[in-house]
Amino acid sequence: MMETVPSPFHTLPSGLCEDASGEAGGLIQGMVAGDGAALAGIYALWCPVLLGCAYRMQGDRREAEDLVMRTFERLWKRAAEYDPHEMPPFVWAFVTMRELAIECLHSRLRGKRDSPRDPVLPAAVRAEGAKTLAADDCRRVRAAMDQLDLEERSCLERAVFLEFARPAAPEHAAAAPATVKNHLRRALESICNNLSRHEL
Amino acid sequence: MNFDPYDSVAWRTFGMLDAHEAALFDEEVRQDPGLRRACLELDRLAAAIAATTAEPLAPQAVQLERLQRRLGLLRGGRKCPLWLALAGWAAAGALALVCVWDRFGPAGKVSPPAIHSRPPVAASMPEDSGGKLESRRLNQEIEVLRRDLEDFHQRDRVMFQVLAGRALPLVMTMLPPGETMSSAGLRTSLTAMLGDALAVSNRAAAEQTAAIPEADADGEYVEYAEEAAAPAPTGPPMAVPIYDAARDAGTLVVGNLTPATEGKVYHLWVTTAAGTKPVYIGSLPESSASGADSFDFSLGSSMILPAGFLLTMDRAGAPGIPTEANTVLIGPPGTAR
Repeated sequence: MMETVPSPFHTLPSGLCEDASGEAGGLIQGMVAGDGAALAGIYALWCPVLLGCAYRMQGDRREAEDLVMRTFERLWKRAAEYDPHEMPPFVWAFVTMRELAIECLHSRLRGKRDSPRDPVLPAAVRAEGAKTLAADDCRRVRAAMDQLDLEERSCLERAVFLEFARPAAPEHAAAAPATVKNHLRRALESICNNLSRHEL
Repeated sequence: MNFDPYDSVAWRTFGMLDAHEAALFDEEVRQDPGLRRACLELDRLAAAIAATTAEPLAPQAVQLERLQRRLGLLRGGRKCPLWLALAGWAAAGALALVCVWDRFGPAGKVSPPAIHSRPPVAASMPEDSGGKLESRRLNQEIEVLRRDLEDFHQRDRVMFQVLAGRALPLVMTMLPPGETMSSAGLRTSLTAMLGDALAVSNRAAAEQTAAIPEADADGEYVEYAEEAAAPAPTGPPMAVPIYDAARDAGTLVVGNLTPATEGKVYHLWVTTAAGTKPVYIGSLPESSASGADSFDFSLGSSMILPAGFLLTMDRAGAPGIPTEANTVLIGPPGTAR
């Protein structure tokens, strides 16, 4: 039996992605009450970033828009189940979208991207006053990522956007090479250490 | 199978477990509070990395409305595009009723005409009073409007019907300003250019899947092989946008396009018959746009019929209005800027 290594994640500093202003939490409460304006507010707050993340995951604008649409539908329907003590609001939205993306991958049984063509990059607009992450959190994460080795950083980014995600059917499974997992282990350990040093 | 639960936190977070492994792991998480905390922390980190790394994209204006409609927060909408047709028919029906009422009138001697019958030819009309002539004229006008409306609907049904496995795309050739198909002396046929673009795409896909190196016996990693340089473009640059209005899906196939100068990228614009200014669609990725290649695009709304396309070269993130100075390709060929 393998000797288990203590998880590095217990040393991860807390505070990332917190809803310091309480704006998102208030809007979620509004969604629980069935307020359509609260949904519009949350949509305006998170949609540009979620759409950018979905585009990285899906590689297609239409599929990304569909994924984001289904994400907000699920957020609306499950707003009452959200526990602010468990995770910050944006993390909850991101995790919801990631679950839907993995479900989509499992249902489509694909091992590689459907379209090999590079898309024309749509006009990207950085949302005015986007508050998905506090400016300090952005700086911390960017600084920690910049200190990673190039291969490890690339591996970590690709993993975050589900490029190594495996479909459900074993016959279509593309097993991630051991080298990818090694890169990821080292990248996660490094970034946790870098974030902890930054915290100190 | 490696099933160290804490190791699997990362694999579960990044979707790298298959369905069976994911189910086992989820069961472990339910029973181990420490494992659950680890999962939540990694979710937090992944969300932070994603939000920091991904470039935000502006959503289309109609997306929020669609979302609200799907959740039942908006009423109506689906029948709105038909309001014009319904209003027209209602007006025609009201006018027909007025005409019928006028014919019935107090005299009541003339039988009312069938509403869907063709109006009589003017030359054979018997002598009528001014009111009856006017009603006949209005009937004819209603008939003409009805035929025009039917033709309009039929055109939409034919042009914009989405059929499985079929599309009615717009295909246009874009050339440098001032060039025409004959003056460009094109030797590369459309088929050959599309074939070149497909070959480039397939080569890129093959390189991508073979990109991750395997460690050798000593644990050393093989260096990435250098990519072969792209072949230098020959002949005049050209592009062919292929656009399906029903699905709002398009592909831009470029050929013989020289790489953009440093700090600049190619930008794609569309013009419509109704609009006076070109509308910006997006930019080609900086790393490609050379030789023969293809790119997907959408206009953000279906049922738009492009009248032309423009390809300009400007600074990345700062596309200027197309002018003679920055326009590289224009379609249809010979269109004045």
